[in-house]
Amino acid sequence: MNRYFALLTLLLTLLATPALAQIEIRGPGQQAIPAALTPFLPQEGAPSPQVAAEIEAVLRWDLELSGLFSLIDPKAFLADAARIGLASTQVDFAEWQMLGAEAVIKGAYSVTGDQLVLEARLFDVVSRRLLTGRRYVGKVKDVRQMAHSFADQILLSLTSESGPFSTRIAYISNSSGNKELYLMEVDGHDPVRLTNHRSIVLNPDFSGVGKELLFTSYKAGNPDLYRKEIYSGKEAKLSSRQGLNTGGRYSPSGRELALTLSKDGNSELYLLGTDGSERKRLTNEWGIDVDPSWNPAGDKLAFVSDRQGNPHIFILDLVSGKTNRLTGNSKYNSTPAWSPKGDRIAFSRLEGGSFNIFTIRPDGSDERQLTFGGGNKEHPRWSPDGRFLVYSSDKEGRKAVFIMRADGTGSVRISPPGGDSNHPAWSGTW
Amino acid sequence: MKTKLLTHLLLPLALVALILPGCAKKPAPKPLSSDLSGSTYQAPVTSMPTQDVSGFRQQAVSDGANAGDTVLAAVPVSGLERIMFDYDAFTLSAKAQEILTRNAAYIKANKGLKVVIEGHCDERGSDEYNLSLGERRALAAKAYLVSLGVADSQLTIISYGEELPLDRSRGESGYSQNRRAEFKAVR
Amino acid sequence: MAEPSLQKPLLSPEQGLRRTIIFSLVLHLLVLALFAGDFLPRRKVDERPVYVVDLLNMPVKDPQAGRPDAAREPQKTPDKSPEPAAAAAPPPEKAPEPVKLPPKTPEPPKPEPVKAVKKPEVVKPTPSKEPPPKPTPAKEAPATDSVAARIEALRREQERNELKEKLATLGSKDSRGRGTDAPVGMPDGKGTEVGIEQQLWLKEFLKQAWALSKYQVSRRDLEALVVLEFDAGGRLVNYRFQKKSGDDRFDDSVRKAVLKLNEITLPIPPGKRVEQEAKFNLADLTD
Repeated sequence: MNRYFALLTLLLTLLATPALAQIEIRGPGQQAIPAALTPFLPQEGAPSPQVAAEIEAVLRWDLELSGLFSLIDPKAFLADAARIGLASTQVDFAEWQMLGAEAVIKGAYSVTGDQLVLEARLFDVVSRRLLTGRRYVGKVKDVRQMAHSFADQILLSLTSESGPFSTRIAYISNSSGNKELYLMEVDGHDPVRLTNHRSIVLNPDFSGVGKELLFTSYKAGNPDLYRKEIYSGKEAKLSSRQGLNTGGRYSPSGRELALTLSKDGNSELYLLGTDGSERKRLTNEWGIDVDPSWNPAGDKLAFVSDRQGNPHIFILDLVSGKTNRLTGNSKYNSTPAWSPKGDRIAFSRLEGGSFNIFTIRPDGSDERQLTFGGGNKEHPRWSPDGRFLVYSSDKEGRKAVFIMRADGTGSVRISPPGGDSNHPAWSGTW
Repeated sequence: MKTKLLTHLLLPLALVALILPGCAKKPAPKPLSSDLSGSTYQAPVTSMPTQDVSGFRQQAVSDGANAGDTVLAAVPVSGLERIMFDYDAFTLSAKAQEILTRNAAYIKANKGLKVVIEGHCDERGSDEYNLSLGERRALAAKAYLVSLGVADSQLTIISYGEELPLDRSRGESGYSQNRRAEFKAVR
Repeated sequence: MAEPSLQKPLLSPEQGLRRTIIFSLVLHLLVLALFAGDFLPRRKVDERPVYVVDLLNMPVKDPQAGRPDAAREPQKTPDKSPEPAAAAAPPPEKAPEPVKLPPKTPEPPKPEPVKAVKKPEVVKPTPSKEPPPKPTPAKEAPATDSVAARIEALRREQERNELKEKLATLGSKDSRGRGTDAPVGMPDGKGTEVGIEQQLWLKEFLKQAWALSKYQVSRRDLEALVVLEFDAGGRLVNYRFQKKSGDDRFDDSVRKAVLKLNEITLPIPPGKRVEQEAKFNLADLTD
């Protein structure tokens, strides 16, 4: 009898498990991942400080732009930074934990002649494992490309989306004396001139398929639409109709393009095939219709029109044929760019005497201003992953091309100094 | 017999009481030690793009020429004056109409002359939009000339938008110089 | 007449009654157990919507020790509050005498250490004037009853003095004075809580340990619920996701924050195995 009662009381005391009231943590205390970018060390062959310096510079620039990390000052690094660690068993995570790092980037390189082998690793300090690793084999001169590729890989492993650091940016610069078309890397390095028209070249656009560009040029005495293959150099006139052939934009499928033609007496939007033949006239209003921008599905166009008085942004549904106004009460809205994610449209608006960049949802809601202050910021274009924007700004005096995150932070100039650089365009995955 | 019944009654209850909390919560606990995996990085060699771009790696060449000279095969004509426009407008002011009347007379007097009317804008606003606005200005001037009797075949138009400003300075004084239509002779 | 019964009665009435009582008792206890445990949902007490800015949260066993006026009387407070040992310093000097007369003066030493020991536990101790007067009577008192009575008298006088001081403080409006009851801490503090709540500390620790970039997540409505288990010594022995957010990056960052608890023990050991629920979301993330 007693035994059973004893058993029961025992059960009672055991059953009462104390649980405390719930605590709520409403946001991370660290809104950037503390990360350590360690110098890449020579593995075989002679050490090459230039290679190491290039890798470090590229990674540092890319990681800063990503906004994910707060990079720890290299002066604080301890002994493990000087050791090659290519596997999680070779890394002293306790050291990094002491510094407060949550991620460590380590690597090694081997230079033999003009050949380069690059090993790169991203480690997670808290769970003590390798998150991603790559080995690159190529030429020493491609070291920047390799580092950019690894930065893309870092972003892929931490955000599930590859970064845009291996893509290219086209732009117009008059540093040669004429407005010509140039190509540069995302961080502004290695600018290359693509045209030699000795005239006026404007408004480039990348094809989503294949490596070619559309642009307008006055080479033949009229603003005509040209198409150029980047690697073969082949160039062809796509449209040289009377009047304007401007603002050519490839559709996402690459099978047709939208542009402004004024051959019928007024600036209207048209659809052309990739051979330049006219497919469809899209607008028929008395106003000016320019600046088409495709949505990722390829069935809508955002464009600028002053049919209601001031230049506003409209959206044309190519399936239904209906057009709706997007921008509200404002004097001057221009250069729309539809995000590859489809959820936002970036554009430039005149307010308080200067143009600044805004984004808005395609239904007209949630308008946000991204740039502020004096100077004119125009021609925003999205990165292929939709997380960054490139645009032109003259706030430093001459027009230059800037890059920033899609929330307006982290803006930095990328176009080389000298002359005016504007009309940027961002390639797809390269 | 009594004890047997008690056993049959209490023990099962006790067992149920033991099991019940187990059912209510606590799935299998996760191990706390972090997984120390080895080198699980993805497969090896990624070769870098070997496309040959060397044909394009040219340095920008400065030839020192001004944009205005090489672009146009057209030359200014001493007998033709330019007309100015208001901001974001392509309507002809009274002064513009006066000048156009004089220009019309000159062109009519020179039947062999081919004239290109250039439309220009100030730099404010989108380049694309300004290309179209410039075209409108040129078209407006041409229409007026034609209405004054100038032969349509002598006139062509082109727009340069904001690409060829006369005055690069900022501010209204500079901008107002650029909103214009120019009349040039085509070779 | 025989009753139409289908089965032979198994128990006598007395046995049956006892059995029923036992059965009923067992059921009652079981119901009690169900409520004492945590199986059934309880109505949660609504938290007051207080806007708390945590600058530094350290759970403190004796938060009154750092008060400015407490510091003004250094000899008094260290004597009394932290250690009974310190407070026992004066008495031990006197101890020889009372010890010499153990049967006669057992009480005098006792009240002082007992009182001194009690004060730190209460933890909103009144930094009153200390009992230096007390040991002295103990020293002098030879007889038991008179000593005890004298102690009582002195204690009463002590309390009167305290009261006078309180009134003096209130009258003087000088919070830095020897205020015994100057309000310190949270307005609704009962004076029984042990410093700042350990839960607030844990919340702050987890917040600082949690690193996540807003560029890693595309949604702001993510939420994960983690249950942490601590042993009696305050060490994390287990954790599990009660509810995952569905976003791998988010959950991974929460896991990493929780794993940092491995490095520390809770500042105030709970004394028994406890479970703590922690909810992680992005409610405060300004976008």
